[in-house]
Amino acid sequence: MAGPHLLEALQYVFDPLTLLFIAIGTGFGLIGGSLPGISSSMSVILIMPFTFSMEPVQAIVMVVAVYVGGACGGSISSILIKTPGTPEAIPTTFDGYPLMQKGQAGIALGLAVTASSFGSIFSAFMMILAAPLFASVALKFQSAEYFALAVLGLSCVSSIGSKNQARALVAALIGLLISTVGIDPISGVQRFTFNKTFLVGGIEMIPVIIGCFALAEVFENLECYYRRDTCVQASKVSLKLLKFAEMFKMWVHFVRAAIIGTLIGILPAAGGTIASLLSYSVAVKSDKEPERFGKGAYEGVIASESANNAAVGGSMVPTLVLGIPGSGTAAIIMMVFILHNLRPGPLLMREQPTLLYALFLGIIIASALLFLLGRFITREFARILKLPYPMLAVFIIVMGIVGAYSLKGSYYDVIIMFIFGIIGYLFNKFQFSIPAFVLAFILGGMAENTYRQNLIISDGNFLGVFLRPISCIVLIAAIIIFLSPSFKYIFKSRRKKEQTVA
Amino acid sequence: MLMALGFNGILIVVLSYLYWSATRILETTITTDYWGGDGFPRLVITLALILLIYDSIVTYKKLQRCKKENIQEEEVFEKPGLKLLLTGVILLAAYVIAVEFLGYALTTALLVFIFMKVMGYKSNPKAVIYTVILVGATLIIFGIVFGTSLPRGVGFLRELSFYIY
Repeated sequence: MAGPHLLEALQYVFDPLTLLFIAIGTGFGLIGGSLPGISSSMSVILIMPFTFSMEPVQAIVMVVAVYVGGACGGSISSILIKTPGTPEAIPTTFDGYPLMQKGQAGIALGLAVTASSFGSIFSAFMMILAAPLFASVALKFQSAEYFALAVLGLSCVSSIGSKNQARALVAALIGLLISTVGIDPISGVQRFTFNKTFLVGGIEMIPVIIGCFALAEVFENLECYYRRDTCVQASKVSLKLLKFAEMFKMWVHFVRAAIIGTLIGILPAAGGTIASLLSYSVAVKSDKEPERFGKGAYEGVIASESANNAAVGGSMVPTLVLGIPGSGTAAIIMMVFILHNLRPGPLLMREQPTLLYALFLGIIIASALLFLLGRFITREFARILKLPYPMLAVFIIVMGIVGAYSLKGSYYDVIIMFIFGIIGYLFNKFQFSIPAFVLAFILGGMAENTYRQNLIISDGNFLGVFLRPISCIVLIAAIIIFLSPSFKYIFKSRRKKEQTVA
Repeated sequence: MLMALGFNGILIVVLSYLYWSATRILETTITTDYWGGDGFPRLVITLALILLIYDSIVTYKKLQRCKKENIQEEEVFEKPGLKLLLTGVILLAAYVIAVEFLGYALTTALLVFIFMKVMGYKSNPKAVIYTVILVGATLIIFGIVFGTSLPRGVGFLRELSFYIY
C-alpha cells in the first residue's frame, strides 16, 4: 500500500520549488553548523519563520534538510580549525584535526561528508522500515539503560589521546567532576558553585570545548611560533573523496556508526552528541590498534560523522511516531509540524503517510546535496587556512569568543572558555588526555543522574543497574572493553615469559 | 619530569580542596537518594587522588633513574616561545575583563590588531583592513543575521552599539 503514497511524496519532493528549499536548507545548515555557537537547533530556529507561508511538506523537508546540513557542517570547523561547530562534531576533532596537520584535510573533509551522508541515508531507511518498532523499544529504556550507555561511552577513556593511561584516567575523572558543578538535579543542592551565580546552572559544554581544543591549540602554536615551522601550514584545501575500494575497506565503521547513531537518536533526549561520542568510543575499543585514534585515524572521523548524522533520522522516529522529540532539534522540528496543523504521534503515521515518505526522500536528497554544497562551502571556509598564522590565530580566537558568547549571551562563558583554554594547554603539555576529559565531561551528568535515579527506583540496591537485561549486557560489554588493554598486556607479558623460558 | 611532578602536586592540592568543599555540600532531604549530592564528586575525587599519587610515584622513580644514569630530561615548555605565549594569555585576559565595559566591536578590534602586531605581523595597513573585515563580518553574521546579543559595553559605547547591531 506504500506505492501510491511514495509516488505522491516523489511528486511533492521533486517539485522544483521543494528541491530549491531542500538545497537552501542543506546549505544553511552546513554554514550554521560550521560556525561555532550556531548549532543545528539554532539554525532550525532561524529558518523557521521562513517556513510559515510554505506548504507543510515543503516546510518540513526544509527544516529537516537544515538539521542534516547542520549535523555535517560541524565537522568543517572541527577539522580545519580544531573548533567543533556543533557539539555533535566534538569527536570529529580528535582525528580530523590531526589529519589536517598531516596535510590530509581534504581527505578528512571528504570522509566526514561521505560518512554524514551515509549515516543520514541509513537512518532514513531505518525510519521508514521500522519506525513503530524502534519507538516502542526506545520507550522501554529507563535510567539503568541510559547509565549503561554512558558507561559504555566512558569505557574508552584510557585509550584515547594519551600514552599515559593513569593521566588519561585522571583527566576523565576531572571531566566527571566538572560535570557536577551547579545545581544537583536530583537533590537540588548547589555543588562547587562557591556562591557564584553564573555557576549555579552548571558549566556549559561549548565554552569548555572551544577552550580545550581551539584556544589551547592557539596557545601551543604561540609557544612554538618562534620556530615558524610547527604551526598550521597554508595549503589549498578541497574536499577529496577516497576511491570506492578504499572506502569499502572501512564499511564496518560506516555501518556500525550508523546503527549506533540511529539507535541513540531514537532514544528520547539522547541526541547526536551522545551518539557520536559512543560511536567513537566503540570504534576505538573495537580496533586492533586503538592507539592510532586521536592521531589522525580515518575511522575516527567516520565513526563520529556517520553516527551524528544517523541520529538525525533516528531522532525523527520518536518525534513522528510518539510525539516525543528524540533531540533538542527534533523538538523544534516538532514545532514546525504543529505550526502547520500537523500533530506528530501515532495518528500522523496513519493519516499522513505521504508526509513520512516525503520526509524520508527529503533526508536522502539533503544527504546527496551534502557532497555538492559541502565541496563549495568547505573550499570557501578553507581559504582562511591560507592566511598568515597571526591572522589565522586571531580568527580562531574571535570565532571562539563569539561561539562561547552566543550560546546564552553570557560574558562568563567567555571567561570559562579562557580558563579551559589554559587548562587544555597544560593538560596537553603534561599528557593529560583532552579527549578523555571532554568525553567524561559530556557523559558525566548522564552517568551520575541515571545511576542515582536507578538507586532510588531499586530502593538503594547499588547493583540495581545489573538487574535489567539490556543494561546488564551493555555494562558487562563496557567492563570488558575497559579492561581489555590490561588483559592484552597480561597475555603479552605471559607469552613473552613463555618464549624466554622456551 | 620535575615539572610533571609539580603539576601533579598542584592538581592534588586543588582536588583536595574540592574534596573538602564536597564534604560541605548540603545533605539531601530525599531519603531514598542514598548517594546524595556529594557522593559522586567525592568518589571521583578519591579515585583521581589515588591515580595522581600513583602517577607521581612512578614519575619520581623515573626521575631518580634519569638522574642516576645521567639522562637529560626533555623540556616541557619551549623557553624562547614562552614570552609570546604569556603575552597572548595576558592580552586575552585583558580582553575578557575589558569586553564587558568597552563592548564587542571596540575590544575585539583592539585585540585583533594588537595580537597580530605582538605576533610580529609587519604590515600595518593590512592588519587594519583585516581587523575591520573580521570584526565587521562577525558583527554582521552573528550580531545582525543570527541575532546574537554580543556585548555592548557601558555608557556611550552601549548607546552607539544599538546603531550597529
